[in-house]
Amino acid sequence: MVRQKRGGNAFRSTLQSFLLLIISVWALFPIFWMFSMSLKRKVDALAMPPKWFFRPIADNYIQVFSSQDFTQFYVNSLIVALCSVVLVITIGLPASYTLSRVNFKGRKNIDFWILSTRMAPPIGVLIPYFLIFRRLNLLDTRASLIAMHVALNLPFAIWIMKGFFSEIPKEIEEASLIDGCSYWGSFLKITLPLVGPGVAATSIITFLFSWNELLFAVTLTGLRSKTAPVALYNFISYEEISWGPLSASAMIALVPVILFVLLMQKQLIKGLTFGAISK
Amino acid sequence: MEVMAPLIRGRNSCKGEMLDLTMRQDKRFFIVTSLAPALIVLALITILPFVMNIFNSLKDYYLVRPGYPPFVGLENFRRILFYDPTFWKSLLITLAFTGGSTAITFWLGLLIAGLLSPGGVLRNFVRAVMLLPMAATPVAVAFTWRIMYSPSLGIINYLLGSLGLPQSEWIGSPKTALLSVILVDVWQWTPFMTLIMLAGLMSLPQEPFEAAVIDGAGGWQIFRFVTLPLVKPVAMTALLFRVIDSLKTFDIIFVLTRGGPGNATETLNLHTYLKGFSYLRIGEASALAVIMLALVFILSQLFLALSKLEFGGEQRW
Amino acid sequence: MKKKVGKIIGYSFCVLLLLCCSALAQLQPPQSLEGQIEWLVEECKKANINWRQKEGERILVGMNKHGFTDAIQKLLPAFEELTGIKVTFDIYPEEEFRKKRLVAMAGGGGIYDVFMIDQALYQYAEAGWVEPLLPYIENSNLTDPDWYDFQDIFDKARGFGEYKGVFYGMPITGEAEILFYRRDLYEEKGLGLPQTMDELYENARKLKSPEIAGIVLRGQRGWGANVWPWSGFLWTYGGRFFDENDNPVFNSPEAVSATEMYAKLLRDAGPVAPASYNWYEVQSDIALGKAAMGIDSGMFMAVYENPDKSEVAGKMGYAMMPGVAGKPPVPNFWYWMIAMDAKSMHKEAAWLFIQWATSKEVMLRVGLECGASPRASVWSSPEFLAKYPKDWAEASSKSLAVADPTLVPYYKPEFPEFGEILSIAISDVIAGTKGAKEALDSAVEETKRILGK
Repeated sequence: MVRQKRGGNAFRSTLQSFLLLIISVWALFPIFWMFSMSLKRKVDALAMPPKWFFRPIADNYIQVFSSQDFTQFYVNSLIVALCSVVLVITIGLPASYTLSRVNFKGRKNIDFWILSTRMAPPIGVLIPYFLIFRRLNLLDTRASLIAMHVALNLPFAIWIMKGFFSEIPKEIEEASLIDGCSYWGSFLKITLPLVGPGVAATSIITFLFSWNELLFAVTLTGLRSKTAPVALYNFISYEEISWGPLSASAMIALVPVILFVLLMQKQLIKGLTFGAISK
Repeated sequence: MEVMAPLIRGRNSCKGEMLDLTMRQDKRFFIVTSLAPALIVLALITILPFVMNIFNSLKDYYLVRPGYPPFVGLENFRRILFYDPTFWKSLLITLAFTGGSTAITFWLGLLIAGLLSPGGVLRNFVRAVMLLPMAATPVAVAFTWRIMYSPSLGIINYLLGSLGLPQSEWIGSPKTALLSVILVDVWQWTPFMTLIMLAGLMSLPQEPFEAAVIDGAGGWQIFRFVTLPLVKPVAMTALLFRVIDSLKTFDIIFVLTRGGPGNATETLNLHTYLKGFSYLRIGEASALAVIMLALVFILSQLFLALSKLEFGGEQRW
Repeated sequence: MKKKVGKIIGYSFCVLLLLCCSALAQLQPPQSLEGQIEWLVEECKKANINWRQKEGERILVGMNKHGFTDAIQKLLPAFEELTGIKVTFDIYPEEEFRKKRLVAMAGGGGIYDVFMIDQALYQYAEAGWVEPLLPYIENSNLTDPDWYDFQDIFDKARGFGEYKGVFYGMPITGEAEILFYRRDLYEEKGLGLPQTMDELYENARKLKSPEIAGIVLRGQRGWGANVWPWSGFLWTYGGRFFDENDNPVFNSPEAVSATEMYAKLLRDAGPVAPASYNWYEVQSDIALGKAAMGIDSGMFMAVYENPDKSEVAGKMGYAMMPGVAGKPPVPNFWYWMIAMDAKSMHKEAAWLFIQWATSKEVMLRVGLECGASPRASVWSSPEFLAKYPKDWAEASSKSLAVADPTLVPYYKPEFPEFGEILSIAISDVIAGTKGAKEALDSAVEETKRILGK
């Protein structure tokens, strides 16, 4: 985070602003397109040349809100996603820390084994999972989906956080240990606050993954535990694609995500200041 | 501070400790309690289905035939590797897709993270906006891109035409289909890279940078010799995961091209999906899954060896 | 100018009306629906069976997102009032439901008592997962044969639900491959309805211009994508999928001619990038005025005639697809079906539901809503004919009457596999990567290998 001297490089900063603008347009355009489709009738949404100026309608949103069990799907998704994040962080962070600090026989193998659990293509394990959860009577429950999402995201959390932990010099913890702090205490009070940005990034990605996950959600859930992506998919029916409600659904699905990210944004910036102070 | 010196000079030769009985009681307690939950959860949830997958791959398991599927050993693998021409083509396409997509995503993500790290109102706004491609529901995204790519009803060709630029057939031509699909994948996953690298950049200590500025280094040199090496562990891990996930890409390809035109975009994952869910040949699909797993395994081993991804090597107790 | 003002006024009025309606819709079902339900219950009571014999049971019905599902869902209260059986619908889009249904059945069944199904029926029947339905139809305690009138369902449709002589799947929709064309453009250019493929080609070329494609057809690969309309071409040219000895013969000279015409239409008079066209592109291109003709499922009519979804409402004409040099056309067709899980714990209740849902009265209401039906009585009912364009109804019912279920390749459980290979071959021909003979030959080779296994 090198602070450029003021007035030093006007050209550079204009160039940077220009690049930022291009990036924003590139990232936003398809989203904007979806948003505009959510406000149009189907015939206007697909019109080419495009109708840049149109009278927006709220029907698509109304249709989504009044569709079958809309609230339930979103609540299910929220619960599953939030629980996944909480579990992944609480289980994954200590493990990640230990794996990055301590060397013991077989550590590398454990490292790699953890990585490999993420590798398996879902197709091969879909039917086995179904059978297992069925035997345990856990089909159509949020618990089974949470378990899957946690299992899928834990390796990621552990590996990514290892990178962040490795950026922190061990002397800081050694200092606190010498002062009489316990290992857990040192971890929780000293190290953890220093990896704020990493925790925030991992949480956001875990939340996103869980919120948008479709394959296991379709297979393992039923009426009671159906999640939002499955509901959204319902607007692709046999004889037509209902672009309006489909886009409206996608927009509505973005809202919790944006809120979650805003929540975590503070953490991202907070980490920065902590990093500076503690040294 | 002399504490920072080892960090700047590079790796030192700290060796790791071995667990032995003379370790502090609470240290052992800490190690066990911190690791155990994760290991238990992962073991419980992933081992059994994984084993079942391997068993399925050794059986002649055609869902349509009732009764217990017979054990046939490595027959499925033999058939796939030696008698199925589409397998090798799929493999090539998969490597092309993954290679192209992850390479572009990596550098783009790094570049954008670098641009965004100074902070400030404009950059914070862009940072939030940057996340949207990854945040939007993948299925809706895929369909939206599909209609945007349409030569007759799509906005992309329309804009290109009105600017006087050449138009393309995008997903309709075997020559451009793979690129079109890669483009969407890059669009969707660059935020992933950006987010992680940004977090990595944000966590870096200030001192090395201050020292470099004092030493008279320019912006680009600082980036190349101070930032990059420091952020390497985080960046490489992100890349590793992106490679692993990219091999499993499904939604985009299925919705945009369904593997076509012809076989132009049929990746291994898509091929496996069709084999299992459409053709109901579970034995072969499981075998393909095992092969994919082997592929990922080899790629990650290579990756780890090449990037010397060793965490906390300097920072061990 | 007048049109624009009129449009804006009409549009705003509709918007206002819609807003009020949707607000109210949330509160209670509209009066007309309640009336319909009452009427339905009365009609069903005329059947000479005890509807309430399975009172108190619950069944789970797995359905695709489809016009049929929407229509039936609205009428569900009638069934519940009639029988006291609680029915829950679990609805998914087609592709997702395919996965879910498969995993549920492969995992032992017993989850969905009744489910909607496509040609996967034959795979499931082979695996023993579905319940034969004839015993229930013939059981006088459960079915009133006169009231139910099983013969009213097209015999071709009934044949479609059979596998190896046993009846498993009750048809619930009926759609045929027909030709749609822009009547206004035809009049403008003074074109006549094409009776043969060559005439179709000529018309398409005359209609093609930089703004509008002459004709659109499915080009995208997928055993459910380009294969469906292509099959109509195959049969019309005299080709077949399999011969009497069950050998794949879709590389015969007739098949090659069919494929070459299919590709020719797209290459010379079709849209840009036809290899990316699945049914939604075909549908939306025509609906948004980017294509003058198309050959695809008759169900698209509902979209074309809806001004909220298309710019060509009222401008479309419908006809049977053209034949070839003196031979009549052999169009493709489709019937969705519902089947019963062989492991269901509520088989009689499930049958009562199936009987109700496919009865004359319910099918008429459903047919009016979604424009498709497997029952002859619906196609000839005055209400149905009054609601839908005459030429469409004529084209569809004639096509359905001519369609031949013995020709379809779905009966082999391996269909998705060789169907996909065939679709890749067709897609290659359309994209210009391979010649028709070469592509079809290698497709047949691979099919032989698959079936020989």
